[in-house]
Amino acid sequence: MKRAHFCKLIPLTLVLLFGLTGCRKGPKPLTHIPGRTGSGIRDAATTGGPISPETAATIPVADPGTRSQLQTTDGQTPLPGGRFDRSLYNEDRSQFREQTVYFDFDKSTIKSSEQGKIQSVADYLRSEPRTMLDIEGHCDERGTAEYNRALGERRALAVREYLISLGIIGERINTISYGEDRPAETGHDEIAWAKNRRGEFILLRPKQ
Amino acid sequence: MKFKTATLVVGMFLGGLVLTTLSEAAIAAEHAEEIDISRLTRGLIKPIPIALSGFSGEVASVLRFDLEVGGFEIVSGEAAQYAVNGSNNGQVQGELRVVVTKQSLLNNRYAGGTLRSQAHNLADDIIEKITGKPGISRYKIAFKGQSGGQTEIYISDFDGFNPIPVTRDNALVAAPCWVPQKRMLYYTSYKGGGPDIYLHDLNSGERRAVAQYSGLNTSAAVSREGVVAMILSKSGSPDLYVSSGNGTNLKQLTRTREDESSPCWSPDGRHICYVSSVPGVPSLYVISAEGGSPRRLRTAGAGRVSEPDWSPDGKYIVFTAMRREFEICIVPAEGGDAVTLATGEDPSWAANSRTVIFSRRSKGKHVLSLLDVPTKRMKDVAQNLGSCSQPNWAK
Repeated sequence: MKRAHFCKLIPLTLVLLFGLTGCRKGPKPLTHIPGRTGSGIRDAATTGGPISPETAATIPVADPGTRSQLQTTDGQTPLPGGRFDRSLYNEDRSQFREQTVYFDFDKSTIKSSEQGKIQSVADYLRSEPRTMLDIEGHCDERGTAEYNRALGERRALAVREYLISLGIIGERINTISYGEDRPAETGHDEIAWAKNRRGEFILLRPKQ
Repeated sequence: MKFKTATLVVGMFLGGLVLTTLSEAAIAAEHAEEIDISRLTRGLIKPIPIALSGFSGEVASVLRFDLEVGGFEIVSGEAAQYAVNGSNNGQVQGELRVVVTKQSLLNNRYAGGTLRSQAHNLADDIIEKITGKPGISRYKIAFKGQSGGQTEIYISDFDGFNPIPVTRDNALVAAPCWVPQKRMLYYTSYKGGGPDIYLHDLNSGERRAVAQYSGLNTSAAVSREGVVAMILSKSGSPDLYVSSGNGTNLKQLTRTREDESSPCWSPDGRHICYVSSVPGVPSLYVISAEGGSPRRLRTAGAGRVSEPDWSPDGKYIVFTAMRREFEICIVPAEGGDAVTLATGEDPSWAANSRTVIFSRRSKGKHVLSLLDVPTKRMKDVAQNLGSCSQPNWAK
């Protein structure tokens, strides 16, 4: 009789034991967090290694004499199908060095003071119909890295749209934003910042 | 007689168990700091005082660092609420006690790996026992490292140790982003002549371009289902797009004349929070991953905002306020008043929804720093790499 009572207490103890330990856990996290033996990121054993060959995008060379296939809507013209292939062109950064376009803080609007420079770029492009153009967009350091990468692109695109409005077809113009990563001046004052908020022109002459 | 004694013994045992588990629950509940913005604003959340003894050298440094980042303050015995006593002769061993009751909460011995990784494991176990939240020391960070004129993508431990270069292209790089639960990284690289998005498998070393359209391809962010959000300007303006993990099934989600930038995912993979300059001032928006009308997110008091990151528990969004200085701010995920946490930019949440890594400018270069959001305590990460920025914490 006494033993029977005692024996009943053992399973009861076990039930209570497991029942109580079950109460200790907190709420389950929303996202599974891998445990020690899970698939969490571990100390790197390998690095780099062979990078598999990448297929370069085929870049169509637009015939500058044809009408543009890119339809402008709402002042916004799609970009060409790919970047200009540097195996087909030589870069010339000096041709339009004096035509670098400058912008106000946090803005991508083309100021009236800058329009003449873009017009002289358009004149040249019309006179050299086989050339292409890359426009680089840049920012001062007063924005975060990715915000500036987008702002730099808007600046390059604004210059491109202005050239398109002057009759240059969109297929001849590509944009590359560097955000704040390629400053013209390394100071931390308005003089340096003003020089960094810019669009630069890179003329591409076809290799013979 | 025997029966009564046995009942008494079992009764005391059960009673002891109940007391132990209840008090452990109480400890965990007291210190399971969910971020409470109203308490944050009033500076009410204090670090938990803890004493360490018996450890030396690198193990002691790791324990101190990890606990301080975890919301603890290392104090001497008298002032401590908890005490950890242990040793590191050949392997790390540590016992955690409640000071007042001398109750032992854990007593572990670690094996394998390095002493440093064992120390990280002990710190994680201590933090998990007291706060109820899992530790974060084994989750890697990725970042942009600049040394001399060269930038590359690096990964390292969250404390900056063991940095390993992921790229060796001598090309401008930006915006690394871990694929959830995988050793794979998206990042932006200019190695192809302009900003393109790549997916890099760190196990095989294989890398493939995911978006290399004309113009801008940047700011890749990955959902837990592997859907990639990104900023592309191929249609004539920087807009928000989504695609499958390899870049196929591309879908444009925004179509504005202004720029969109820095998307991040809700943890359930159903929404994207991103920046848009449509209102004239860069502001946060939330849009369904399926597309549709975006909803503006209130970030009252923050001004021009950028670089949001959504906490893994879904509750909060941290971001950078672009004021005279950059400042890390937080709002509830449904929007609200912005609370300033620290000077810095580009915040990224840890898996615990409590710690944030970010970068701050110091003496002409960027430095990575860790923030414990509830206590607002900050610690810089160790780094020898020159300038480090755009950190992203694996989850």
